[in-house]
Order: sequence, then structure tokens, then C-alpha cells
Amino acid sequence: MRVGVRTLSIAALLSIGACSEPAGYPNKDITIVIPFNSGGGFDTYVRALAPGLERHLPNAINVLPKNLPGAGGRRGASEIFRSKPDGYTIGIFNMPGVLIPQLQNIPTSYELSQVTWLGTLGYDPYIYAVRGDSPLKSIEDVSELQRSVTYGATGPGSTSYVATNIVNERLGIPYEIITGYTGSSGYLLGLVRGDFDAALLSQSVARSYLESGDIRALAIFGSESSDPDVADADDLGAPELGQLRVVRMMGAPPDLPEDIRIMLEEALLASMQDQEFRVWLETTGNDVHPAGAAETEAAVSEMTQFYDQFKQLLD
Amino acid sequence: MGIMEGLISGFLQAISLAVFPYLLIGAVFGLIIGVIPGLSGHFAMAMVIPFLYSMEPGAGIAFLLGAHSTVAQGGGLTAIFFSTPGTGQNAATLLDGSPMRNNGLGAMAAGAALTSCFLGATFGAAALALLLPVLQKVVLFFGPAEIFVLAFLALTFVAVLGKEDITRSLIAALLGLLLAMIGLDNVTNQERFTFGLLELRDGLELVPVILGLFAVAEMFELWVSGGSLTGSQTSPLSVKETQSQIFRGMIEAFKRWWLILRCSSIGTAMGLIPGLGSAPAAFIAYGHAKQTSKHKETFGKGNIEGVIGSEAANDAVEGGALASTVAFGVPGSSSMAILLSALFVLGQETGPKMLTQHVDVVFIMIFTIIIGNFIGMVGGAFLVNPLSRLTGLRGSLLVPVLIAIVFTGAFAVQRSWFDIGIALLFGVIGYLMKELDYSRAALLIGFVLGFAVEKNLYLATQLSGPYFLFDPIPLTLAIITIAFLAYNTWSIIRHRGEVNEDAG
Repeated sequence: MRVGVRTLSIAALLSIGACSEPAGYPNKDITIVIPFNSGGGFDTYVRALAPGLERHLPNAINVLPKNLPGAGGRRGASEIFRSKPDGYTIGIFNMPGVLIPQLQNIPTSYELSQVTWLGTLGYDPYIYAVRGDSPLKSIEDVSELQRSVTYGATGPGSTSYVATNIVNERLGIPYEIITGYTGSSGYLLGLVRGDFDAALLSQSVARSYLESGDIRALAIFGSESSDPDVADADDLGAPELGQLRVVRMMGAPPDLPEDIRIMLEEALLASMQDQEFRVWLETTGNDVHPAGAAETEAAVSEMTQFYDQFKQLLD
Repeated sequence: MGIMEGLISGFLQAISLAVFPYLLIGAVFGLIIGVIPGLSGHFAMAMVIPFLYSMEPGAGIAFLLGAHSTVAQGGGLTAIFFSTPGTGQNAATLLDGSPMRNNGLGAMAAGAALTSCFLGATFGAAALALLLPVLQKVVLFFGPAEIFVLAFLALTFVAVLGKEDITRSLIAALLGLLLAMIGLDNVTNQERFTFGLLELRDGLELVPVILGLFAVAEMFELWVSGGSLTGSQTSPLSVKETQSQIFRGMIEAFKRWWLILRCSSIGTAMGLIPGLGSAPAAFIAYGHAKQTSKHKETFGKGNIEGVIGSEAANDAVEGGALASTVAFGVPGSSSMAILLSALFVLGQETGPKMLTQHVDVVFIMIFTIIIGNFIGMVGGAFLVNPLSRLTGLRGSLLVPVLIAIVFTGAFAVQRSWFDIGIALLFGVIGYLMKELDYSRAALLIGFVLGFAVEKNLYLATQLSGPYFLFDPIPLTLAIITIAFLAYNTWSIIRHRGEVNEDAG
């Protein structure tokens, strides 16, 4: 009898709890996992987008960014992958940063092909850069050098290291990579100081140094070139190198219910069109290349195929 | 924009009604965050970032840097009154700060610490301003070879810190170097000592290690020994006595302007070099203060010069760290990495563009540091009395509260439960080291500088081969290091001789 009363009261409490929440998804706060510290491109984009997502989702809920830095983005990716697929934990993935370990057969607690993709915020092309006063004027000059070309990078297995390997192998340039720099700004500084001949830098890192003339671009990968002095992947006769770019993709745990996925995808695309977000992009000199879930999923498998053919260069 | 123009415009903006209120709020917020053990400048800035999206650049920078600049001042107070570094950088302050408190001179130490912070920060900021025209050249001057030798020079300061027992200090420093090796090796891509744990892949996080070594260890001791932090001294100082001590401490700091100047230079220089960081700067300055003092033997027993030296270096670091951040977008410390992202949010580009077109923004930063530290000095003086009263509390009341706060601080850096375990583990290590008289400062210096020494040695050999040490600048620096080591070794041997004679 006593047990019966207790069960009843718990049931009553539960039903009160259920009634006080608004019907349907979302009825509580949504967490966006950012696999890096507060700072850097990934964090700022998500924080600038969060208010828009709140506006475009039904019900008054909060969208809360949560930084989970560590292991080059793998810690964050694992956290997203292992969360409940209820639409209350989503996150941003740094591609190909979290893809490369998976292809190297490093044990990861996520599988990118099973992630429920929601959309793409945009990408950051790679710039093939030399020092401002370097005698090298084009990729042709580089390949005609009678010695190994030296490059700087963070460490083996990092995205910049892998990209440097792929570019040189594909273009048949003899090369050597000096590793051990801290972060992309670390080897940017090494390039300006003249520690080595060239480096592959993401455009967002390189931008202001290109403008000041401290460094000069010879080629751009992952985007078409608008400058006749700068070659792009097509000009170099290696269109597949257009895959070399850092992409910011949003995803959710596997098996997310379809109705929730659609809701999140639409809110994401809509918030990237918001006036407020556009103004932020304008004033900060950032840009986006929005893409929906289907396109993102296709891009992931294309990217996986691309890096898979260079498997022996990944570490 | 010319530099003079930028200076005037930056100053007028910093004291304008649109900016100054934010500076004030930021500085007070930073002071409070600093007092809470484990919450560092890093944390204060991360908390401020979400507010920046709707702010004007000038106000945003003042808010953010204001919060950051006073954290070390608040942290110094915690080091003195609770033997617990409020932030990582304050670990050196407690070496002499907490003995002063035990001698009933806590408020005097606090006054001296607050003032040294302000003077150090002003020195660092002024140095940055003077370096502006040649800033890029200065930052480029330090290549891997130069940084390697400088980090090695800094490492030899262990010899000064642990002069009394050089064997034990070396053991501690080498343990520190070993701990620095944990994590992914950037050159070979091998994981070292990670036991397959993802959490160890990036190496040990600095904040939980420092909190463990100093704060948690202190809690263990208090727990084991019972009683209160102030020990036998039961009646706390009267308000009037506290006030007079604060002023005496401030005067003492001004009187030692030459020491402050030297320690501030050490701090600024260490800040300038990316990767050396602020925690070792304070210890190096402490070592320098001890080396040059007339009363070496009283260091560690409550010498005010130890407090002044380390606190001056603490805040001078920021001026130097700003230099490489502003000039190249290479963060000189972990908080500078956050500043960089905040500037990104505010739509400001660092690097060449900021130095040529937005020099006024750089001057807003410089004046924010100076004014923020002044606010911190005055505001901090008001905190001394309540804090000193808390130290009279029984350990059984204080320990649970402080432990909870410290573990929160360890967790907050990376939102990692693992880091709480690290803090606990290093708490045990720190307690044992303290009981067995091994220098925790030496371990910390080894740990922090281990990264810089190893990484830059690798880079330098890859770039210029095994003979890089014979290039002019590294060679000069290497000779200074050897001379410094030789002098200290000689004085240790001489000292030992004296002791033996006394004994004989």
C-alpha cells in the first residue's frame, strides 16, 4: 500500500513536470560543443551564430556554447558523438582535423560517417606563402629550385603538415618539413623571420600579413584565385587539391530524429542570413559559405576519399 | 596614424565616459576573480568575452584587459593570507608572503605586493610603448636558438632558488623537466607517458599542477596539523593597525624602486619571448631578488623583498606579452591567446595593420593596464582587512570551502574532471615535497621551461644543425649562462667551505 502511494506521488510529480514544459522540441537549453578554447575561428563563429539560432527555433530557449578543448578537436568530437541524440547537444567539427586521426587508424570514440550532419558554416582555404622578399615568384620557380624546399609546420599529423605533404607529393617538388612550431601563428612568425622557404597557412591567419607585404601568396587551395599572380588548384593542373581547406561543419550525434534534424538545419541556415550576423561578418572581415545537411554529408565523404588516397602521407 | 597622435587619442579614449566605466567594472571584477584561488586572468577574460559582441572596440578592450590586469593583484592577496596562489603566477609570492603573515605582518606584505604590481605593470606598459616603433624587429629577434638559450638561462635560476640544498633542488627541477615531456611530441608525433589517455595527449595543464603543488598541499597540511592559518597568533590585527601596515608596505615598495625596476625588466623580457610565460617570470625575479639581497638568509622566512620582486615581475610580464601578441598575433601567454580572440570578435586585426593604422588601440591597451592596476591597488587595499580576518578561522572550517573553490578552478580551465584528479595528485606530491623539504618552485620552473627548452632545441637543430650555439647571439647568451652558473657554483662551494669551518 505504502509503495503504491509513493509510486502515485512520483507519477503525479512527473506529470506536473511534463505539463510545465512547452510542448515539442526544443523545451530546454541546447548546448553547442566547441572543440577549442574560447578564441580562434571556431569559437567566435559559434558565439556569433548562437543568438540567431535562438531566434529561429520555436520556444524561448537558450543556445549555450560549451568549450571542450583538447587533442586537436578529438575530445569535442567524441563528446558530441557520445551524447544522447535528442537535439540538445550539437557541435562544430573541424575538418579535416578530426578526420585524419580516423584514417590513420588511431582509436577514436567517434565515426564521422555516422554523425548526423546539420550544415556547413564555411571554410578557410590554404595559402601557399613565401616571405615578402623571397626570390620565388611562382610555384614554377619553386619546382625549378635545385634543392629541397623547406617548410614549417606544427607537428606530424597536423592538418598543415598533411597539406604540405600532399601538395609537394602531388606537384612533384622535393621538400623537407621542419616541425615543432606552436600553432599556425608560430610558424607564420618563422616564415617572416626566414627560418624556412615556404609554408601552407590558412587564409584567416595569413590575411593581414599578406596585406602588409610581410608574406606573399604563390598559390591558393580550396578556393578560386582572384589574383593573376596567385595560382589556384586548377591553374596548377591538380584540381583535386581544391579539397585542401579547413571546413567548419555542424553535426549532431548519430540517429537524431529526422524532424529535429530538419528544424536545426533550417534554423542554422536562417541564422546565417540574419542581418545581425551579416553585420558582424562585415565589420570583422569574416565570411561564410553556408551549405545544408545533404551537401555537408556529401562533402564529408568526398573529403574522406580525398585524404584516403594520400593515406601513406598522413603521419 | 603617428605614435604621438595614437598616444594622445588612446589616452583620451581610455578616460572617456564611453570607456572608463567599463575599465572600472573590469578591474574590480578581475580583482575578485584573482582573490578566488584557481581562477586566473585566463578565466576572467573568458567570462568577459560573451559580453563583447555588443560592445564598441575601445570599451570592449578596456573591459577585457581591465579584468585581466588586476587578477594578479587579487591573487597576491590570496597567496599572502591563505598560502594559496590566487592565480598561477602568484606561486612565488607565497614563499615570503605567507611567512610575513605568520609574523603578523600580512597587511604590510599586502600593501607592498599591491604597490609592486602597480609599479611593475606601469613599467611593462611603458616598455611596450617605447618599443612600438621597433616592435616587429624585437619580436623577430628571438628565433628558436635564442629562445632555447634564454630558457636555459632561466632554468639555471634553480641554482639560486635552492642554494641551501642544491641536490634536492636539482632532483625537483629534473622531475619538473620529466613532467614537461608528457604528451604528444611535436617533432616525432609520438605520444610520451600518456598511457593511451586522450586527456594526457596535450600534456599536463599548468593550472591544476600549480594548484595541486601549492594550494591543495597547503590544505593537506592545515588538515593534518589542525588549528588555523595564522597558527598560534589568535587575535587578528585591529583595523587601524592593518591600515598602518598597508601604508608601511606601500612605502617599503617605493623605497625599493631599484629592485622593482630590475624585477620588472626581467618580467617584461620574459613576457616578450613567446612560450616562457608569467609563472616562471615571478620565480626568476624572486631568485634575482634573493641573489642580490643583503639578507639572503631571511628569504623564505618573511623577507619583504621576496614579495616585492615576484609581484613586480608578475604584472610587468603583461606589457611584454602584449608585444608579440600585438605585433604578430603570437600570444605571449594563455590569456593573450584569449585577448587575440576577443580582438577578433571586436573586429580588430592584430599584426602589421594594428601597428600602422590602429596605434590608438594599442595605447588604449597600455593605458588600461596602467589605470586598471591603479584601481586594483586602491581596491585591493580595501580587501586586506576582511581577508586577514578570515585567516583566523579554524582549519576545519576553512579547508572544505577552499578545497571546493580550488577544485572548481582546476576544472574550469578545460572543463575536465581529469584535471581535478591532477590537482589532487599534485596536492599529495606538493605536501610530501614540503614535508621532506624539496623545492616546489624548482619543480615548477623545470616543468614550465621544459617545454620551451626542448621544443626550441629541436627547432634550432633542425634549422641550423648541431652547431647553432656558435652563432653570435646564441653564443653571447650561452657565455652569460655559463658565467652565471659558474659564479653560483663557486659561491655554493665557498658557502659550504664556511659552514665546514664553522663546524670544525
